Amino acid sequence: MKILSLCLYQWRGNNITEPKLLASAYELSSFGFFKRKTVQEWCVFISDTLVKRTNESQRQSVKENDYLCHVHNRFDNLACVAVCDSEYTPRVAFALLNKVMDDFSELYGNKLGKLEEYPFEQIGQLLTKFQDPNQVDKLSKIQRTLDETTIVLQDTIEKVLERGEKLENLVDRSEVLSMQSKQFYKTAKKHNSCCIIC
Amino acid sequence: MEGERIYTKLQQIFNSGQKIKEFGVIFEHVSVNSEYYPLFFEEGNLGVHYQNILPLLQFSLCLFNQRSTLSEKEILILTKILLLVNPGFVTALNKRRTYLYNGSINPEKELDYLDILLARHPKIQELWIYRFDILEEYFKQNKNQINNINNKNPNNNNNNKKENNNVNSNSNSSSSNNNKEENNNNNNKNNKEINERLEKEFSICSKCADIYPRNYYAWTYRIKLWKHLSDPLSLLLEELNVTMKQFVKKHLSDYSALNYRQFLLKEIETQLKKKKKKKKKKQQDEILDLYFQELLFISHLQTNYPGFESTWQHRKFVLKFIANRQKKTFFKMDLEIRKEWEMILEDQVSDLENENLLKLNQQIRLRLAPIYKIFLDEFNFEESENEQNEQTENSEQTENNEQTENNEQTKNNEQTKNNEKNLQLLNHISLKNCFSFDIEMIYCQMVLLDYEVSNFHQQRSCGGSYKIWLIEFVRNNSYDLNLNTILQSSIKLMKKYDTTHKNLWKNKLKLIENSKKIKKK
Repeated sequence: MKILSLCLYQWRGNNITEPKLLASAYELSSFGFFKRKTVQEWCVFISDTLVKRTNESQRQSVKENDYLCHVHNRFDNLACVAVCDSEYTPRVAFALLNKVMDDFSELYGNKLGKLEEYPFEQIGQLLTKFQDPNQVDKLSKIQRTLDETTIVLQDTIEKVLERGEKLENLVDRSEVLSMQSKQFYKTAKKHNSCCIIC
Repeated sequence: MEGERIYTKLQQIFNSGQKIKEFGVIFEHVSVNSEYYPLFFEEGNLGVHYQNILPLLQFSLCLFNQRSTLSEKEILILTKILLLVNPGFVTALNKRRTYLYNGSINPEKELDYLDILLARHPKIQELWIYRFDILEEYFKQNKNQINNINNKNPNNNNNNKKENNNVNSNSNSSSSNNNKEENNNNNNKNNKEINERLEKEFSICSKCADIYPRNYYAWTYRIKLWKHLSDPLSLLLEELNVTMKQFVKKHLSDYSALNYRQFLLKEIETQLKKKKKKKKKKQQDEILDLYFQELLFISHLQTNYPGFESTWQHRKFVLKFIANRQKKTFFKMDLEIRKEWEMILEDQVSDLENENLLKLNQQIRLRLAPIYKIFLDEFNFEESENEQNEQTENSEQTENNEQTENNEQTKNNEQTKNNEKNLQLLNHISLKNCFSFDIEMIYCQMVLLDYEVSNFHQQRSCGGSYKIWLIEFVRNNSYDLNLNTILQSSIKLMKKYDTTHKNLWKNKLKLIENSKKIKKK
């Protein structure tokens, strides 16, 4: 049970058309050297897409092969995405997302949109701390049921996309993915398998 | 020719003796100026562009078909490169095997080479079989080395025979002290080498099981490794208590890891029996202790990480063993507790948010906590430094249960008194002394209730089949159980949850069959 990546975005604020990546952290040591870069780019790409396709004050969990991506789009223009594997307790994942956004808004609450860079080291520390959900579970044990906003569970990432949109088109148009990742996606598709991040 | 160019470059890299950690396929072109163009090679990571793989393969296969004309060295490099690209090519693998038995291949280096292949393809059976052959050859050659060293000393002829049989034991005979020391040093070195090598093997098994869960070949290979140790008891215990616990926590849906723990428990039992020093009773007590610790471990996992069917399957194994060893105490009926779990079963049907049920919930958790040593953090059984923390946690618990503000203070006091009592209990109660079927049933009900309260629907169905198995198991071994109440309440449960619980329908049928059997008898 592990978390692969944690990305924090600014979304729906002043003059913002694309989600702006504020801070991110990755834990990719279980992948081979050659796959790490591709996996990282894919995590960012999926996080981007999910943030755009989640409504305000909504939580979603999207399943893609063996991985489960949790996204929380909050009311204060912040959005956070965690890409985890299917074993990781979702409740703890959402607690993590909350914590990241809370800590960030403590530091930079009023200055959102005014600064150019937002150095936020704690995101890496939180990622490593939450790799073992049991140690951090005291928080979630006391709150056994989450608050009223329900979590929507989606089976594949394609259900999140709008009508007529295809994942292929998004991949081609994406600025985040390098040539390598796009090529990897195309060859994986050719072999009749879905884009597998493993 | 593209293929030939890449082949020669790869040949260069292999011959230069540099260590290769990983092999992979890259999608970007390497700059023409780099040293290993068109290959990518940095810090032991070797990469071939995906468009070059097919020409490389075609060229190498062509060469391989002409292998009767090639020299031994050339064939060795050829097979190495071929297997990098296509590790499933058994003919090349077998060719390398003949050279291994021939003596042309160094087993240790071959094991390192196989690491690269397994990191990309952890589930190819032939690779694991080949790995086992290499390992056997490695240990053979090690033994021969020791024998050669000892043969140089003429006084050690008496010791040689003993050393052939027990590599790890320190043999003593009528030789001088100097020779004894030399022997011991050699044996110790050998022990160290063997243990180091085995550690590496264990780590590669873990790595492959991490990449591909429930990797049958990796786990069976791991089991085979234990044959190479002559005195494995302490290592077995370490494996059980340290390495495998960490691995299982990270891979909870991997039932093969839990199955491996079952193997370890059985193996420890056989090893303990071999040691005839202790009396039978003490041995059996030791073994039973291990199984109880296992039960505690698995209970921790089930309460902290809900929703994994594999933990419940493992629990069956542990429970069968304990129940068979402690038949008298396990099947003994405890009326109070039996009433409790039957009550939970009925209340479960009526209303989950029932206040009484929540109170009972709390009481039972307090009772279960010291036995199974779970819910410890929640009830703060461990001695806390600040009393304030205790009081705040107590007030949170009572807020969950009751809403009246006036009674809070008095109830806080009660809670703290209870906690103190229970702290004392924690030290006195052990699972062994009070374990029975009724306690187990109450644990099941408790945990499954927890699952139902939690939001995520995946977690609800786990453990249900375990409960039914448990009832059947007890029915087969004793007739103390009144099935009618269980049958009625399970039917009510089914009506409440409708079609989402198909398992419950199966349970219903089984219970009906069993009750019919009772009527017949």
